[in-house]
Amino acid sequence: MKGIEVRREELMRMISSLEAVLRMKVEPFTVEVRPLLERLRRIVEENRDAETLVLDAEALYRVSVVLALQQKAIVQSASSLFVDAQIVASKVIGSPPVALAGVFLLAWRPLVRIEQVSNPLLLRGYEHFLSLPTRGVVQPEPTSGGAVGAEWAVHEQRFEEELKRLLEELRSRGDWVDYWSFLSEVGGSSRAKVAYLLSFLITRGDVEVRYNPLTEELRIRAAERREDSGDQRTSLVVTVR
Amino acid sequence: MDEGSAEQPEEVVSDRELTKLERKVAIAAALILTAGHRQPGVRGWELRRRLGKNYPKVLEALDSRLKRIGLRLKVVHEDDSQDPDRARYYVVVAEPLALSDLTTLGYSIDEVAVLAATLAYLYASNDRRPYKEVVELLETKYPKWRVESILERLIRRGYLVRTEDDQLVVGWRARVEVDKQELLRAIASLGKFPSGEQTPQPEADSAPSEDQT
Repeated sequence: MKGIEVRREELMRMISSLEAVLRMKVEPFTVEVRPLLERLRRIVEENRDAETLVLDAEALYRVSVVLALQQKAIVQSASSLFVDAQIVASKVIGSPPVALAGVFLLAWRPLVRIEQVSNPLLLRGYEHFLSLPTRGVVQPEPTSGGAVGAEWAVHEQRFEEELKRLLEELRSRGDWVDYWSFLSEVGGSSRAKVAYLLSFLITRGDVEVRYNPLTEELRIRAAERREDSGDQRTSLVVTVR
Repeated sequence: MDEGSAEQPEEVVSDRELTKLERKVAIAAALILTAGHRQPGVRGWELRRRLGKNYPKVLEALDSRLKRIGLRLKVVHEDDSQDPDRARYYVVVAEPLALSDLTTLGYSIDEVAVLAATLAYLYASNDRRPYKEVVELLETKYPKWRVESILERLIRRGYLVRTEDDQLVVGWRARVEVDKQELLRAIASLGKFPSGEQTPQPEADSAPSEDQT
């Protein structure tokens, strides 16, 4: 009985010393794994009670972590060609700066990077700038709220008409058409405007979009006419990948 | 006649494919070279999104074109996984530069010497070392104020990182630009050369220059 106690204490001592190695980040090779494993095997062979087995498993787990650290240390040393920090320090001290710069050039391949703005990028930026609302300027008081409202209504009506015209144009094509070709054919020089209008139609569900990731083809077509009755609206889940 | 008419569409398709590839190569070059982030380079998944799933082939084509003008594509895996989507892609110079090129690039020899010594020291110590210790090593060559100002500049350029616990760590730019093993090998071989040829000369591979005299 006393022997069992002694072995359990031995196991606990092993666990705490392994834990100290792991926690204090001591050099993992200070642990000699082979004799430790042999001792663990002997203890388990002599005592097969539950408590000893649990302690043994715990010690074994810590040994495996130490082994992993040893492996990591070997990989790191190998990647630095087993060149020690002391060797590097002595070489640095014993060499003139020009020699150090010379050896560095052998291993140095500078990065190539362009910092330049292109015309299309500038144009896109300018378009975005123009689309921003003006801020900080005091707007003159409208003479009457109704006049502004009427002006907006006219704008909105014109926009709706343009949407309707574009949708009719797409409907006249019948089946699926290539998105980019459609933009070029209908938009001409104002492709951005047509793309903008199309985005509204797509959001409303008046235009269907189909994207083929294999061919990277983007196709559109006018959706079938639907009766927009507010009380029959439903929601559905769309998976975006 | 039939053979000709049968071949023609095939030729047209391959031409189109070729043009498509050329266009994708141009896009890849633009993305990698002109990335506007603070850290240059583009991630694999960003290239996949723009160029499609066959982007590694496009990058291969880009690499072969870059090699013709003395550049090459560099892939840096930021973790243990070799997943190309998670890697970062850069364009780097393919061949070693000459000492005389340093001033043209805006580097001084002292700066490069400090960088060489610091990086070699860090590489031999698991990529990190206390800042104070590195300064002490470099003080054997330069006054402290000079060492600190050069280190500060190298930190700003991304070659080194100074952590909150005052450790000096290898920075992202050193990982991209410097071949760790090549540097350690060259540092370890310092002093092994016969007198008059103290360092391996990077100029040897390149075109003859004034420095070789």
